[in-house]
Amino acid sequence: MARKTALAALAGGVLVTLALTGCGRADTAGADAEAGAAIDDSPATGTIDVWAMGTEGELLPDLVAEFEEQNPDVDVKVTALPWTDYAKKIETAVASGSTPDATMIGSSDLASFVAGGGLDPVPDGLVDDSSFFAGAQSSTEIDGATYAVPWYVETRVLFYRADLAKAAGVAAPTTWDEFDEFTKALQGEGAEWGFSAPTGAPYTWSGVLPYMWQAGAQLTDDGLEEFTFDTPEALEGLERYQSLFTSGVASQNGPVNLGEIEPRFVAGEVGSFISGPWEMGLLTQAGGEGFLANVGLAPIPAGPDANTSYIGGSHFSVFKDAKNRDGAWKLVRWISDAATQEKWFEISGDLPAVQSAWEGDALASDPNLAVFGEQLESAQNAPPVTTWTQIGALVDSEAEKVAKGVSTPEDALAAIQSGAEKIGTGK
Amino acid sequence: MTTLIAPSEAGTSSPPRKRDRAHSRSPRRRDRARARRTLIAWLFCSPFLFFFLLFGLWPVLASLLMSFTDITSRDLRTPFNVGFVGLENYLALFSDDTFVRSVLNTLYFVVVGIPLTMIVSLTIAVALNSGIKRLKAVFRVGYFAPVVTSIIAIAVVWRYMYQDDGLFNAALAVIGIDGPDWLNDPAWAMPALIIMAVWRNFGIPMVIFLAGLQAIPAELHEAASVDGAGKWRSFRSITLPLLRPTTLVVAVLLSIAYLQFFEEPFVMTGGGPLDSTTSIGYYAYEQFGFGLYGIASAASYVLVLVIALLSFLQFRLFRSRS
Repeated sequence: MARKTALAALAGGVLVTLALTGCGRADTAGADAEAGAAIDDSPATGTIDVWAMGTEGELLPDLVAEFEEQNPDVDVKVTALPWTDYAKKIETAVASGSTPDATMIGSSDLASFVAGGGLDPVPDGLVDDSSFFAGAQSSTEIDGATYAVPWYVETRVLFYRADLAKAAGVAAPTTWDEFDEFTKALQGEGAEWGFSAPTGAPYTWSGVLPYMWQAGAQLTDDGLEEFTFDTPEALEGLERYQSLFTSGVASQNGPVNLGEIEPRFVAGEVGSFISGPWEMGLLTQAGGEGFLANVGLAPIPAGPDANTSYIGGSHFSVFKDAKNRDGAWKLVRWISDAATQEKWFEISGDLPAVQSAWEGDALASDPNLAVFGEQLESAQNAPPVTTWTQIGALVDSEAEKVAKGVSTPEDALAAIQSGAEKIGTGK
Repeated sequence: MTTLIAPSEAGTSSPPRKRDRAHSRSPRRRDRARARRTLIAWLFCSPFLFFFLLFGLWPVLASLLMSFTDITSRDLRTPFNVGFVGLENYLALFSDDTFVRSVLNTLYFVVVGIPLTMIVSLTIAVALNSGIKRLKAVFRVGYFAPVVTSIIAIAVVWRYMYQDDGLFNAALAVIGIDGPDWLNDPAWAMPALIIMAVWRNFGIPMVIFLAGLQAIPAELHEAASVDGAGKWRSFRSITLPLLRPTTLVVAVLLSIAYLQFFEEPFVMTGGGPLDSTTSIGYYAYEQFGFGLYGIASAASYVLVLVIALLSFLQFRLFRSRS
């Protein structure tokens, strides 16, 4: 008896609490996108808490040491987080109101964090928007405001076995048609697969959408309010993706885990694949010193419209609950300075998001980097909508069906479009 | 309490009255003393109660409430500013093909996995209990090792073994079978995960069965053999019936663990290929990742319901005959 009453009282209490706190969706449509006060030029002071993920988290202290020298009264504390589940860490911090001052954020995840409402819009005049690569800048603009400053970028280019290509007497392809001949030629030289594409693993979409872009597809309307996957261009792109598997050039069972493709590429089983700047390190690791001599890099072969690739990378954002907002924005401004960007490239090998940093000696001299630099000119970001993680997962699963031959490009695209309409753009 | 005692006191005759008189001077004080004792008892309990209510009951209630709201990641800073949607989340779940698929996958895993795990663990327990005489400790440690090994390490090794040209298919090739591409084949990915889960999980049931086996008096088996019962007969008619309570414990523990099927697809397949290894737990995890906390909570509560139902059924099943 007593126990039941206690439970009932507790449940009642919870309901009353909910009622008293005004549970129920009030009209809060439209994020408060007004940028806060501008940041002055005086030296930064106080403690700045910064979160950064992966290798960047380990190396960032080396970079900010210089910032601390220039601003003697500042103390930058870098906390290194693992990439896995960093999103949940940030969400928890925002929900509890105990955030750091600034954090690094993966470019395609930014939109979903903006939805949570924990990020401070970039103050007016903090940085020159046009100094960044267009794709990087565009991924920071969500719902009419800018929520992050690009830090570094990455884009995907074609990696191929130069030794096999040379033996077959073919040069790096520049168009879809040339690519077909190229991969067949690599297979003629003993490669089991001429190419390798993702087939359903997380982030497969970043390998599939470029084909649609290359065919000239626009995946949303200009106002980012409607998805437009149901276009002939998008279909042409998805058919192109399908043809990789039907023609026997790429395996229907693409890599599932990181580090899976490299040993096969080194062994000559896979003749080519598309990847980002980190790949050079991984290939050296898998193939040993000097293996890179057998590797060729080339911009993505062009489709009917362009040779668009995917642009990713990371941004810096400052939290609304930051204790040291001014200091944090000053640090972000300093990090996006061309000279700092060049310095960061020397420390980490990350490609600068600021275009003018590419003119420095460190970057201009490397032929492999030149390929990335060229590709960045025509690289596009995922549609910056707050629901993108969900849409991306939908594209992953439909692309998997196309790759494994259980769905046609038409059906898959219809499923993506209707699913995306249902999920919406978060507006 | 007092109302319960009163009639019996009224019915008793004179002897207790004497004792009553001894205390009759202060009935009020006696009540007060009892109230004080109760208060002290609650005070002693209060640290536990406080933490239980805050970290035990509240999250459970909160997530249950969340499953009836449209809460998503945009409500992070204003968690009470959400709308009640009734059963809409639950309806949305069952109209989502992926979720229905994940329910079927979970049942597949449970229905095949639990009996298999029980048979394997019981067989090994019986072998360790009676058959194997030498190196008993070595075998026990060996069979228990998978339980204490990190799932990540297991995943790396098993992924290699399941490769098309991996250890499993090499072994099958010896007896002339062309093995499937386990983890990439929608039909074989689930069996592959079940085999791995059985290997990983039979350690604890084995220990429980061992304890159950050692509690069976040896005289019963001796008596049975005097009566001419063979090994198999005495196993079926003595060991198994006496193991019934142990079997119930193992079945309930396994079904709770297996219904929460998550780690295997998380580290091995990512729910694929073609959703063939997506489980309810994995589905809920994904929805949390999308920031759809309402849907994710609803999916979790479907899982809770299924676990409760299955446990109830098992209690019924194993109790009825005892």
